[in-house]
Amino acid sequence: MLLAGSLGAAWTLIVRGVRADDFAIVVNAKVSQTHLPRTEVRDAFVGQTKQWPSGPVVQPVIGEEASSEFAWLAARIFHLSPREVLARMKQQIFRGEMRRPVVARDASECMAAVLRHDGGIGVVPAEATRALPAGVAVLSLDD
Amino acid sequence: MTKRDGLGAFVAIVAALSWASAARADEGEGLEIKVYGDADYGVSTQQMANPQYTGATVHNSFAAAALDVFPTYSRDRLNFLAEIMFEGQPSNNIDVDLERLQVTYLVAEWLRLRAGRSHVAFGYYGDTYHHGRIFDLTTSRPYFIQFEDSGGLLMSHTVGVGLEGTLKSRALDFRYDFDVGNGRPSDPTSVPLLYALQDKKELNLRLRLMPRFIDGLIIGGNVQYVPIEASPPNPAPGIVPLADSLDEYDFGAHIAYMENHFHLIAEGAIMLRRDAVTQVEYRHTIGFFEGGYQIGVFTPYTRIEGGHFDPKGDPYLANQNFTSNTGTASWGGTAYFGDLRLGLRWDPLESVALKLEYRHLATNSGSGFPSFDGAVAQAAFGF
Repeated sequence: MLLAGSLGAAWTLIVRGVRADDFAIVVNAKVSQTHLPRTEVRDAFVGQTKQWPSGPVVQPVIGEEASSEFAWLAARIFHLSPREVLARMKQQIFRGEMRRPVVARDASECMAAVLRHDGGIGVVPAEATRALPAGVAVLSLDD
Repeated sequence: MTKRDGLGAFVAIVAALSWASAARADEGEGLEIKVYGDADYGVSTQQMANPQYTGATVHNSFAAAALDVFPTYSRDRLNFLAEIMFEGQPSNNIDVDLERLQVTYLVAEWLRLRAGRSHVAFGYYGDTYHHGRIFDLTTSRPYFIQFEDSGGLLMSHTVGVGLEGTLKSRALDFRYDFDVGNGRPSDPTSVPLLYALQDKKELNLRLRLMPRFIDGLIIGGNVQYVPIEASPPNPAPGIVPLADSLDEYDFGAHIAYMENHFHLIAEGAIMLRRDAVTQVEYRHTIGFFEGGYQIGVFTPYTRIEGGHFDPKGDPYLANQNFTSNTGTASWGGTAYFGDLRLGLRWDPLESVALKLEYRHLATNSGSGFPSFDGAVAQAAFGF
């Protein structure tokens, strides 16, 4: 099952012309995490984790559904298609388990939103992490 | 409320809320409104129209009888949501119902406080799926966890307060939910949302384990107490009087797996209802399995559900109507039932789901709800 999920994720990235290391997870520095397993990052994006251990409320920041950032998030973190991830987020909001995500149109909007929310977590192109604003940090994936 | 009044109220609510929410659409905070609904076509070997309202003999019917307005609001640790449901009744009129109205405050990952009207945290299905059919894999909820006004056996809405939280570790996550709310009235279709009918309160505890070695696996159990009030001296027309109050004890177990394109849910419950005066005890056993596997935009699925009811004849069942999109009748006289569904769900768009489902229901010959074969086509949407 895990193999099928991983193959599906790899296929999605290939179809979208996205490489696994093209994007990175960024968080507000107050999150105080430098690395997390993929499943815990996924939990933060769908309201399964509501508060970071350091205290701030988790606030997901996502790209628009058709964006490469969202395709990468769906494939790399969820092992699902963007549509499936969006459906899962909507269901979690409908259940009352998740805050609505902030939708960012590009890397600068994502960085700004992550900076604005103490518990912000988002996805940006890897090249954008070369010049991170103060208060935003890269979160490495353990797996 | 008439159809015209209902639609007028709907337009007014949506216009007011849309205006209020326009400013902060993409900020993750502020007010946002979604709309969910569905349109169905059903065929059945059983008479579908409710004989209480019409003498028509109908074995196939269209339905467009559910519109769910869903406002949410978030600000820092505070979250608010409501479900305002415009719902067709067996009389073919529309009623407006406030299905959920809850505010939650996040104290910490291990403690979230909730107040208002919300779904009882019983089992997996009950508070995972709500009124928007687009989120359900099938065309309708399992019979025994239907909503109160659709004949559900378990209490599905609670008006009160709740605590919930998650404790995380490297090996597993542990989640608890605890509800305290008003008990049930003698009319099982209603929810005491303005005032309780007894001092005793509903108490519900759910515990869940989510082991990390199988990502996505949820194993849980419930213990619930529900006080049921006896009928008032002059019960509402059409209600079979409930002579004595009842104490209901529910014990449930559930297991679910929702990762890697699998959709697997199994849950069951034992209900014990004890007459507070005669001490007669009624014991019912109910459960279901639901399975599906997503292949691209298609998900073939099945659901197998069954129940066994105490032969002594639980008086509360007489007022609980077994309702589905292929018919309505009382649970009274039902000793057992079994239901099989086979279906295919197609998600052509992220906001639309089309479902085609066959079902076969078998009950004992003395049941108020006879056995039938039927099929339902459903278009469910959410915007």
